[in-house]
Amino acid sequence: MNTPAILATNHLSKYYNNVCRVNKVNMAVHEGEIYGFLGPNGAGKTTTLKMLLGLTKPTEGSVSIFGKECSKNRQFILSHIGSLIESPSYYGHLTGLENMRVMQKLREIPDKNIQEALHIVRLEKQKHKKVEQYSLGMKQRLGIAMALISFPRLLILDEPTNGLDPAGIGEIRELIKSLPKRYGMTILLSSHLLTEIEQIATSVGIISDGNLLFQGDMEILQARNKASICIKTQDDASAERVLLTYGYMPVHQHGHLHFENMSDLQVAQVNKILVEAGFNVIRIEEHKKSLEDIFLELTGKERSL
Amino acid sequence: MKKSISAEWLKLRHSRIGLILIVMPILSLLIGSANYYFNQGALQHGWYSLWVQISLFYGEFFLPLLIAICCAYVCRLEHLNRNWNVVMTAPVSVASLFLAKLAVVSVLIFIVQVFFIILYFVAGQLLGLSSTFPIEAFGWSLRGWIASISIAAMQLGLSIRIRSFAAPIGISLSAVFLGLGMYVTNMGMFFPYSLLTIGIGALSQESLTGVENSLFLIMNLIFISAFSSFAIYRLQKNDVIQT
Amino acid sequence: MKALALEFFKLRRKWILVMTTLFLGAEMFWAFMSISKSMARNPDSTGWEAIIVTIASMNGLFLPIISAIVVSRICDMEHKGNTWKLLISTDVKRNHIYMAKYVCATTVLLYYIVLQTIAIAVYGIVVGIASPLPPSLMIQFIGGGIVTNFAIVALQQWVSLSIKNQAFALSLGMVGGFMGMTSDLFPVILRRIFIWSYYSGLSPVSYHFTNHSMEYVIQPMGAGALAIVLFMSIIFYFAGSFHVTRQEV
Repeated sequence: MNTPAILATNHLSKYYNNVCRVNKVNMAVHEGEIYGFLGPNGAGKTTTLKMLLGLTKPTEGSVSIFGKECSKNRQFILSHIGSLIESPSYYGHLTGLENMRVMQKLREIPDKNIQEALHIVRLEKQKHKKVEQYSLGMKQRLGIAMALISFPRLLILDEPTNGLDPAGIGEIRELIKSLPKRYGMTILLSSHLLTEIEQIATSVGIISDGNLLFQGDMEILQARNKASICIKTQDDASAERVLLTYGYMPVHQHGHLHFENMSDLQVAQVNKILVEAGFNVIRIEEHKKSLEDIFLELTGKERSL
Repeated sequence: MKKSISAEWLKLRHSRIGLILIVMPILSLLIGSANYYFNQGALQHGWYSLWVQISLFYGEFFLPLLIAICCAYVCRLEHLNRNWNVVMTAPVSVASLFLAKLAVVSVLIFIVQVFFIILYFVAGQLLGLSSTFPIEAFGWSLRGWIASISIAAMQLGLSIRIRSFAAPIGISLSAVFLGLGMYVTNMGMFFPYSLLTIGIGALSQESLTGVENSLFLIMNLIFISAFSSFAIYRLQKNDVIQT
Repeated sequence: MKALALEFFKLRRKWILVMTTLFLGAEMFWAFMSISKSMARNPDSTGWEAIIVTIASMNGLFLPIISAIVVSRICDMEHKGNTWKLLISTDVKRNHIYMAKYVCATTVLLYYIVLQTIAIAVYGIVVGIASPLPPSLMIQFIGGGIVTNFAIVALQQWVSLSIKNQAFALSLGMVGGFMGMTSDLFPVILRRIFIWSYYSGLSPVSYHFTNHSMEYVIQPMGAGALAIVLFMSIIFYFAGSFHVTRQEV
């Protein structure tokens, strides 16, 4: 967090016909990070990313990348960014390789980059096939390869695992995680899935209804997201009284006994106490907070996702 | 600029657009020559009469629509599958993106013009025209090509703006008729489509005077730069909207 | 019926009627200009026949092209959004969708012809043609246009849906328009084959040149010609429907 931001927005806002879609967002992405941009569908993720790339013009506010003002240094900045926005773009009548060549011509990069990018996303075997015959997952991989082609300083990926099967999702996740170390890239990726961001990102920004609600290290979010333990017995009220005498302080709510910050050993301990005291333990569950719960905490009010 | 053009050129592969570029001039030539052949008695001016017959169909109908189709095609490539996202995030200036498209269309039309003049020569030989080949034909083709670039600049602007393939072509047909009207009323210098009529010598083979020639060139330059800068300005200013 | 309603629904915000109206405007403007010019030159030959014959031959140019444009717009949205696949996976049958698109396109072109007929009537009255509007001629004019549209829309739809690159469909429309415009120059046998020539072929009036003067001839709708057009419509429609619904997607 001490390094200066590689990407920063200042009061970035977008209005469509006077309806606010992105509201005064101040975002900061630091060198070497994987920044997860998290929010439900329609929260303004894509609009924000498109403003970063100049595809959409901000109604208000500004973007600076690599320490330069975007509207004035468009070509310089774009030459160091790779991006995949919305679903993948491609020329269906051309082969995968020819699509890469179009990108190569526009970016003036050596041939070996094409080979390497195709290798990374495992499309080498299908590179001579027309893209209109690709499956959705293959198109997505091609889109990632096109974003990677110049091995840029900053990579912007909008929902990169869309359309991939579970195996593909895992593979792309590992790939994205490896990029900062292998190529020194900084990555900004968006998703509507908390679990995905949790597994990949080192920093996170949460957007909802166009407002950036939270921004910071992944660990801070993870702390909020610690799992709690729910125990249900035949007689929760009596069980609570017994446990209190042992120093445990469960919260009795929603017909469960609720424990925060429990280690595995403690869970086993509690179970033993209850069984020995003659309670029938019906179930012990681990309860993860959902994105909804975190939103609830962050905003203090109910939101529909 | 060079990189944008070569990228643009690459996109035309496998498109079979060449087929259309070849068939259209052949068709207009066939019909024009047939017309000439059946009316040989009334047409006394050899090569010149043949040019009237074929360039009328070609210059007033096939060529303008061919330009419109080419322009619509190079834009359709970007409208499909969200390609504007990629093109507009490439590290090249917006102006060079537009000018590359204009350049590619112009080259295509240039090839068509060369092909057309070869066809004209062959047709003349086959019809047994004895007089020498008129040198003016090169001038007509060249001026036709210059006017074509003006039309292409206008059509590209339309096709970038309108996402439909067919609508700009409908507009171009209407523009052809408007152009004819302006030509007839001697306002031909003020509309790209009638500049084509003047340039290609479709309705009148009288060579242009030096003043007219320069006026012709200046008007084309004005149209090309005006339509191009307007289109580039819009591309820079407006959001890229993709479905 | 559901599929047809859906087709019309999908045309919302496509300005398709506005576009056809503007296109008709261009045609009528041009036609009326040339009619008033020729009327000024020989005042004897002013009458409904002169108007009808001019418009019918201009339709030979304009209708194939506007048909190509309308059909292409109706079909291209499926290519653009890759929705053809989506449509197939719904319970609507593919040939029903094909039929719906066909009916939709012919309806838009019916609108064109009806509007054109109204324009003719208004123009005739404005320039003060003495005789009343001849209903039999007008009915035949409308009928001829509609029937020829049937065949041309069927052909265009086949091309537009089977070849993704709409440049081909539009080029075909262009060639068609050209054939339609110059059809009077062709020998009869070619005129029978080229469907685009039927706009003037099925027109209630045609003209003949005799001794350098033009003479209008009323021609009744030939049963043979009519049969050929309908036959071609059916062939194109079913060939297209068969081909497109069996195409891999």
